Amino acid sequence: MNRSEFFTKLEQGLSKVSKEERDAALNYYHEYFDDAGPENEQRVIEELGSPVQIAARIKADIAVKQLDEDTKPSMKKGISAVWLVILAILAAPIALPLAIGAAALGIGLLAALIGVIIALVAGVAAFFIGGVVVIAAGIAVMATSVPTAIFSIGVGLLALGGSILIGILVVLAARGIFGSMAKIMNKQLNKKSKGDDINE
Amino acid sequence: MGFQVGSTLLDACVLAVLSRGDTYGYVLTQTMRDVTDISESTLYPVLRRLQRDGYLTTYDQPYQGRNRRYYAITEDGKKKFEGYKRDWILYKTQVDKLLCGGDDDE
Repeated sequence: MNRSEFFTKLEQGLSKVSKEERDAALNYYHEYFDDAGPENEQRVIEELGSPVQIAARIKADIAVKQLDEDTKPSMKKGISAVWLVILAILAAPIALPLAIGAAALGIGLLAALIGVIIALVAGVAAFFIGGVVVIAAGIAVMATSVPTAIFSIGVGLLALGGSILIGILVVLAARGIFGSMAKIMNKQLNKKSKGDDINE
Repeated sequence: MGFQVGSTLLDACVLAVLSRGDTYGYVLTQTMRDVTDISESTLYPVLRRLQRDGYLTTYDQPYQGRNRRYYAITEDGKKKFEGYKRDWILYKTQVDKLLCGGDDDE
């Protein structure tokens, strides 16, 4: 690999990142090469390691940082941050089986969480629809039996109110969970990638 | 070195180097490398993060027909560094007691 190949790969890796972040990173590494001097080009490339890995780390850092800055991070951003951290783990130069294990654990947790959330949302939706149906039934029997109608409408409203309340709680909890998951994993990754060279 | 340099210690070391004067990426990396075995790819994210948190700023200076980006510590960064230094001295003393304990106990 030579310098221009290094930068082609780095730029490709950062194509989804904002222009400002990408330019900052590219400038930094261009300067680094310039300061090291052309005679040290090969040594610098070896020292820097894989540009794909550098890009993955930068992307994961930015995603986690954005979660911190957002006062109300959306679930989608949380999930994508977790995903970017998983990709960074896969790109990290840790012993391969360990990386695959860590990434698999992350993917498994992510899938399990998404599954639980889908189940909860489906449950809440069922309650909500049930509420609407019971209210409709109550209105339908209004003419024949007023007490039954009132009872039925009451139960329906209870189901509606309960489902809305639980729904809000589920969304709030999901946001928090994905955000903290991305942060914790990114922190671990920081430790790992800094430690592994030193531990040899 | 057989010990891991965690991300906090790395932050503290970068701030320490910058508290002695502004410098640019390449020199900063070489200085850090004299002490730890850090790989360069981990230093850029650290610098970027410290910059976003307001602990350091950058400015460009022309050098041989191109720009060189210098890093400078901010007031907030100095405060943070002082905090890190206090924590480190406390930590170091405690580890010393454990690892080398007995030898120089009062």
